[in-house]
Amino acid sequence: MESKAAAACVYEDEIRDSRPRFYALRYMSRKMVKDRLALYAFIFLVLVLFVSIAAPLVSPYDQATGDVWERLKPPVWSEGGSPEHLLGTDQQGRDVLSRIIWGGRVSLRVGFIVVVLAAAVGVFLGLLAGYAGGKTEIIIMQMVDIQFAFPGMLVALVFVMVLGPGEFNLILALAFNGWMVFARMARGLVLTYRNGPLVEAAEAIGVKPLKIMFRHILPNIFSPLMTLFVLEVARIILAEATMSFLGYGIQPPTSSWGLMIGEGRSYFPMAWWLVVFPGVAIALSVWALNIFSNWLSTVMDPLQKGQSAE
Amino acid sequence: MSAGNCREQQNTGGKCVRMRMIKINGRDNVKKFKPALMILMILVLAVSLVAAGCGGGDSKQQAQRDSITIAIPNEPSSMDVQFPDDGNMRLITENVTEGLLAMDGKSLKPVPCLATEYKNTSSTSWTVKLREGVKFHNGNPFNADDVVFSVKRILDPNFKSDLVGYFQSIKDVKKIGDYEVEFITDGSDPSFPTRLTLLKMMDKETVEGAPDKVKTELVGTGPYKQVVWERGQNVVIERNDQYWGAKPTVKTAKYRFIEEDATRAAALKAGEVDLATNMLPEYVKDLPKVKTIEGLEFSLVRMNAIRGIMKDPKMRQAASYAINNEAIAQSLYQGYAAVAPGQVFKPGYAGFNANLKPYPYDVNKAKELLKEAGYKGEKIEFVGERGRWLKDGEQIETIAQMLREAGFNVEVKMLSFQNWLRVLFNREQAPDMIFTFHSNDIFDADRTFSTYVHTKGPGSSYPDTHDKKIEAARVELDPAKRQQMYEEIGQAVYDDPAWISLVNIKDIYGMKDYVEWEPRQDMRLTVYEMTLK
Repeated sequence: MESKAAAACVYEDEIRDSRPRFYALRYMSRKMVKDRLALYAFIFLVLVLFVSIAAPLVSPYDQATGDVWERLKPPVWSEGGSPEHLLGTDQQGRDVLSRIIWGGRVSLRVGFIVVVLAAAVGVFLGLLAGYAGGKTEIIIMQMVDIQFAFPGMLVALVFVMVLGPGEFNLILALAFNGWMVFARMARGLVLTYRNGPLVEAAEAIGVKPLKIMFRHILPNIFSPLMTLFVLEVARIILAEATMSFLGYGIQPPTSSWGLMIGEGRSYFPMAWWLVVFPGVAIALSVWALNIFSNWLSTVMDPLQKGQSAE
Repeated sequence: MSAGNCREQQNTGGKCVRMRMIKINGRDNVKKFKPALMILMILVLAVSLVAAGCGGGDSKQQAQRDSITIAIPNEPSSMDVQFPDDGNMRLITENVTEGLLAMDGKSLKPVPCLATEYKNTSSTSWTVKLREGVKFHNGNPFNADDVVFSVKRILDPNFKSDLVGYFQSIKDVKKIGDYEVEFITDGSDPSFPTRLTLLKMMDKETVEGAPDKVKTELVGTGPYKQVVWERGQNVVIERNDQYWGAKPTVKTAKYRFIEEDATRAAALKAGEVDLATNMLPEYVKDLPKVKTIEGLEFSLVRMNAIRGIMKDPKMRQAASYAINNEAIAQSLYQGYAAVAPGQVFKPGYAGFNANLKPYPYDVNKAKELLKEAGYKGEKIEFVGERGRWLKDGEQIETIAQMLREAGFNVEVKMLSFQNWLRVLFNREQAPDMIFTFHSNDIFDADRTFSTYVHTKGPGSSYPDTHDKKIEAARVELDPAKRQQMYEEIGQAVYDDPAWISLVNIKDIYGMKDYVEWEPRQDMRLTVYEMTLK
């Protein structure tokens, strides 16, 4: 009897330890300040998020209206630039800075909505597959494998070509392509708990399967999924940019970083600012998200505790 | 930590052998790899990439230039000159195949080519005498059988040629002798000779012998013969030494397909190609040599006069007042475009109406008309495409913005070229507005009105108000009377607008200094008229 109680105690510790430490914000912030790169990345992301949300207030001009007579004005520091347009104007006389600000809003919106949708579906199916096992698992994982076999971008392109371009359809297409990675990861993680004492104990006292999945397993696999979530946002931002670049994503006159590059690329030889600024915006955002997700995994994963750069 | 210690030792004057070792090993760098440094590295990388893009020198000097490399935007869809309406294909095939008549580049009048004479024997019949002794590239002689075959092939409804619209007036063709044929037209057809310049002759034996090969291997009678078509790479044509006419000076021409405008310009600057088509006005100052010509392409926005919110003429007039054509021509096209004269014709076309003036740019008037029409901000669908013509996407967005400023609630829908074509040529699915470029290849108002006004026209979304007049003008033999009728139709579709006439763009060709060539109004890229210094 005693030994069993002790064992349970150990399990409980183990369980607590592996849960995300959202309550330990002070610990996280300490970690962050130490990891300078992550701190800069985080500050940058917060800045982008803030600017995107406050786009109507922050952006100096409307994203869609320009003055045709004021085309291709260079940034303020270049010869011929004016302080009215800090980053210059584009091929239709629209303010590049304003378009980058509004474009960030689109990128983040698409990124988050897509990944939330993909994660919701993917994690649910992954949990189901891992927990239920048997035929359910085979069917779900076969679906995952089949969909992985198709090149994702191509599927998204076909999707948009059939449904017609636009933000809503783009979100659908990308989400349709993004759920598998969550399903596969969730299922793999569930398997480590499926036959463990935690689930066994819950089953023994008659907890319903759905409740076991969501209350007992999900919290334990949450931190690696969080990391994946952030990484996927970065990937989707890139995918949105690619689709918009090709003309199958965000439709003009709405701005999007990929669309800006796509529309501006003909003018690259004499108007580098049309391509370079949105390009830098994409690169920095994706890089920052990657660094942030890396940091997230080191602070949230107990196994990696102490392994992060001090 | 170790590095820090060393620094302390150094500061206190102590020797630090370890520090040097570490530095040599480069460990110190790893330890102090700060984000600022990383950003710096990325900037260096970015700058070097940009710099690399600007590099590249002239190609090596050739002792004697007799070949030319030409960059065109896209690969041809086929080499069957009779099937697709494909501008990229024509840039090549205009040098390889010929029609019974050819277009004179300067006067835009038909001149004899494979035919030596043509006569209008009655109002519905034309007899054409053929040139004797002409051989196809494979050695087969050219004769009346080939003419009959070629005409029947393109008119065959099962063949479904994109070009059949140009030849709808031809009812039949008959062989009279080995070198004489008779054409029967449906009613009289004053622009019949011009139509013949577009009808390319093919060899009966070759096409019948291998009908599928025609799509990739073109056999014509022209000054050049097709040598090779490497898919995705290039097409090479070579001088036809058996040519019946004047021999061209350029021996071989290689066409390369470079879709990106900027890349095409860069290839020209780097000396990879000697001539590049469709240059942007912004490139002009950086190119070695530039030739421009006012082309045939007019941009227009067709409006739906049979259905939906734009059915009210006031709405369509308001849209016409809302567009600042001058800004499009002068700023968007940097002056390489001219404002359309209230119609999509140039002076000199049959049916040009000299009384029409472009709609003035007047936003207040547009707003007033919108109010009169009782417009309450209903959504207006505006369909466009991007990449087929010079700055088409930019023009569409600029127009949409001008319309919005006047109070139209415009929603732009950019489609792929194929989907856009399908929408353009479908009366049932006509959107409120659609952007297109129109080029009148026969310089005759009938072509435009039959396509965009007559209810049977593939691109019409206009009521049948003018159907009878268009049909009557088509067969009217008295030129003055015909002109009068077209001017009336022109005025009517201006007052109750079928479309907004926008600008006539110039074609800009970039070339090396040693290429001598005058571009043509009819957009034909004539290698046989080029010389190399």
